[in-house]
Amino acid sequence: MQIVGQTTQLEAWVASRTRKFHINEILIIEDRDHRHPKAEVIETRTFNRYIPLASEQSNLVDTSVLEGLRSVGFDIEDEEIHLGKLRLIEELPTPIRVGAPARVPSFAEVEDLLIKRKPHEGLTLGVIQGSREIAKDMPESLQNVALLFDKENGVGEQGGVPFVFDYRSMDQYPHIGIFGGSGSGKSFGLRVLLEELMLKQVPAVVFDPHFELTFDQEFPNLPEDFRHSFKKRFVTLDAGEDIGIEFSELIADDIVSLLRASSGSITDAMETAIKALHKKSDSFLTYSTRMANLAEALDNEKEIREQSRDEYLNPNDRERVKLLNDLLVKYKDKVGGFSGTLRSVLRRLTRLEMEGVFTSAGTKKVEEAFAKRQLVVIRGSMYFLNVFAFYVVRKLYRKRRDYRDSIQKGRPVEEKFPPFVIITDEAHNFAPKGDVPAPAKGVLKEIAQEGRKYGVFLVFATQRPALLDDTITAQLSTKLVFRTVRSVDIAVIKEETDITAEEAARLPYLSSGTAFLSSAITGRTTAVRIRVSKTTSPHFKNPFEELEEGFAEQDEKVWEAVLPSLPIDASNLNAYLTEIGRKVGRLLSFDELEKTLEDFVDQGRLLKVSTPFGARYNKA
Amino acid sequence: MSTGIFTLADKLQGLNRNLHDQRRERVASSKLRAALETSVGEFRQAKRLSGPETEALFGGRALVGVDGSVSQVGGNYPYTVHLFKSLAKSTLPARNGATSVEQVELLSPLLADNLREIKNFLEERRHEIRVTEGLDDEVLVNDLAEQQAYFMLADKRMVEMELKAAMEAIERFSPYLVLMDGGFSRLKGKGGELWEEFEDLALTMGTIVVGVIEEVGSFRLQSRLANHEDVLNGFLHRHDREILFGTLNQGEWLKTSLDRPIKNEFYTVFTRLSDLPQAGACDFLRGQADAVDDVIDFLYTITPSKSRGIPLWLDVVDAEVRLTKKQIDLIVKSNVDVENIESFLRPQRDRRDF
Repeated sequence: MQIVGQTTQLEAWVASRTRKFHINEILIIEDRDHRHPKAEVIETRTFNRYIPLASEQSNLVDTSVLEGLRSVGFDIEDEEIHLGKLRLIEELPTPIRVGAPARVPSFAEVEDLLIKRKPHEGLTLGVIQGSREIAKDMPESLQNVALLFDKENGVGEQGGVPFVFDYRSMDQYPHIGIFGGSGSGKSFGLRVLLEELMLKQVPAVVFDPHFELTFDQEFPNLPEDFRHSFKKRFVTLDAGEDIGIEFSELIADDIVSLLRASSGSITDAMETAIKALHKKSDSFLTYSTRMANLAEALDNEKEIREQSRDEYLNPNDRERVKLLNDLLVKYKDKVGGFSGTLRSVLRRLTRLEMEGVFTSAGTKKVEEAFAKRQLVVIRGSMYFLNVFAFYVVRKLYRKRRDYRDSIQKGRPVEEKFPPFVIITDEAHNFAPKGDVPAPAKGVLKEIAQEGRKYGVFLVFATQRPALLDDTITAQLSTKLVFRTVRSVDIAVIKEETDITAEEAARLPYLSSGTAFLSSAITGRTTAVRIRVSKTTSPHFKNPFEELEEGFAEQDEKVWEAVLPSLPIDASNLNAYLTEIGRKVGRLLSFDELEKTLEDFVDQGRLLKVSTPFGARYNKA
Repeated sequence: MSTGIFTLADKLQGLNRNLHDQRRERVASSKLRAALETSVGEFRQAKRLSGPETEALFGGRALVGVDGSVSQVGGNYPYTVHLFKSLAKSTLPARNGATSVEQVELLSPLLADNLREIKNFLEERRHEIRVTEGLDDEVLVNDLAEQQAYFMLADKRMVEMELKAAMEAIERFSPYLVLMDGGFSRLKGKGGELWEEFEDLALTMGTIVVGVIEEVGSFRLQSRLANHEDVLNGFLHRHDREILFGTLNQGEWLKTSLDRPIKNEFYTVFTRLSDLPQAGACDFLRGQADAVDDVIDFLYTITPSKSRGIPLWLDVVDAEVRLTKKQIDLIVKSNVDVENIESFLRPQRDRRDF
């Protein structure tokens, strides 16, 4: 291997006749004047000058010619020349020496560069690409810590240097972004990251709109020493059941954003009314009753005003009239005279209430899990999670902030509250770019900017980085970029990471499960193949396969039930319904039985024969 | 815009008409072929050898291709440098693992030693070198003669280097077959004693040497065909290439009679190894003429049918021996100081803007 052609202080081409270059591998250039700099292969090429591209000038060579030369000892196909474009890890003051030999380093020579933390000190996310050869003399402690998986060969060897993410440096460089289109391995990467957080027992809350983040199902065919049970390391909570919003903790603005998130849009008049009617520590009951009463008062304003002057009203009515009149006096000017506005708000509130949003469960279960250093998975529909995220995140963040502030200011500490990580998939829904409203956006932005002071970190996964709030994107110090196809997203990634033009050009073609990790912590972009996850999501089965299997099972059951009754008289199917239905375990209709029997005939399992007594189904 | 180009177009059309009229006078190709068969030799069809056939032919020995390249740097004599490279490349490695023999040299009147050599050469060959008469300026006359001598010397040097590389390759690889790029006349004419040595070595070592000629430049057939009336009608200059153009089928070759050879010193056959209608030729040593059938079959085997008709191995050697303009620029710029390049070697035409 030798440096050839023109070089710069940063880049060079390396050529070899015998060895192909691997993308992302690290080589040492033996340039004494520059103290043997290290460089990474960022582009690879191989060509054979005797087998050029066919063109007008140069035709494809006949195979007989190649065979003729091979018979006298020359294999033209061996005349390949391999080229690799190198980028130095650190820039030099002057260009690299042309002609300098290059070589594959020993592990010890690049250990500092590749391993920032030992596997037990950090998050072992995968294997550094192009490190296969270097890994040969790697110490035992780094081996078999990140097995790989591919569809053809299943779970396989590590075959490279593990990539260990130094999560403790997140207090300096907080927050992680995970970008990638569908099928890119993004969800898989997220799962591995969560597993690693659980192994380190970092409290975390995950919003899971896809119902796929559970960790009790083990990944199949893992070797014994790679298996790990996460059953005690996480809890799943259903939004609206296990956790809810305590209405009394909300302020008027919160109610506005909740309703906006849950029902799309609300009018200015509604917003004014919501704010005007709200009192501190209102419960759902007090608030909604007040609103209902006011609506009633507005509808009957004239009578109430008259009745309020009537001294002979019976005492019960009088009390009621006074209440309504007081509401009118107090709020009418503020909410406008139209009761429809109030009823619109009420309808929306009641809907949320009925869906279980306002329960007294609060975030108690999350806090309990945090105390046990567990991972909390909050599941629910996207729309529901959006409503909850705002409340849950804010509440947890405040608790943590109050705790830290108390310590800082020397105030007595009431309640210990641990640092934690907030994780969401489809993050662009929680914190969309521009002025698209989302209830949780405000608090998430605050955490993005100030969270590291309090030990609160974000992990934002999204397919659409271009749709994610700019402030937040800019605060993600570490970005894990999987295959991305949309040019707008690639543009954002290019802008927000130190990914080079060559790497950006590879983004649409990255294989599933391979990602570029661009991080202020590692200081450079590393191509990483994500390790096999130790657990698997519950809906692993292809829905269409499931359909096939489900139906086949059904048919089989009926077949078993039909067998003893053969031959079956086709004109008298009703007589068999009860008997077969009992065996199958459910009631069969005439049509269903007839259709199933005909299917069996089509499949060749039954024969339909005509007899003097009518048609009959016989066993084939 | 000038109209000169249209005038030229007219003149070219005139030329084209002339050529066309001439060609119409030609006899049928079968008649020409019949005449060639009576007076020159027989037509043979080469066959492509199978792998085992080739292996049997070579008996485990190598194939060597030899070629040279010469590049000129600088401007007019004497401000010029010639760089030579010759290469003999073997398909099988020698005992030390090497697969080629390479020679490089530099010749320039800017070097005192070389200049002396040029002047000596001029003295030796004075009788061959004629300078246009009627020039009064004696200095200029001398300069022109010297320049001519220099170019002759450069040609000689190239041939010598090719022969040396070939000889070293024969000694080292003991090949079955050596392909030289170009005919033997040039090698013998300019190589002198070295050629004799080369010939002797090849015969002793049992290595067949063949000069592969891409484009026939000889002028021998017309005298043989002179007594066949008509067949030469319609040929303008009656060079061999003109007569053979389109006469051979693909893979066909004209096996000239050994008793009445085309050239006195060598044995030459005419070939058409690819689908191009232009004929080529191969020179053999007279003592090795009996190998011609096998060798032509093999050369046909390793010549791509869609190519300029040169065995691929010579193309491979050619590609390897050639110094590209880029390489020469690089090597000159990085080893000669800018002042020297500018004052001695930079031709004015390099400075043209368009």
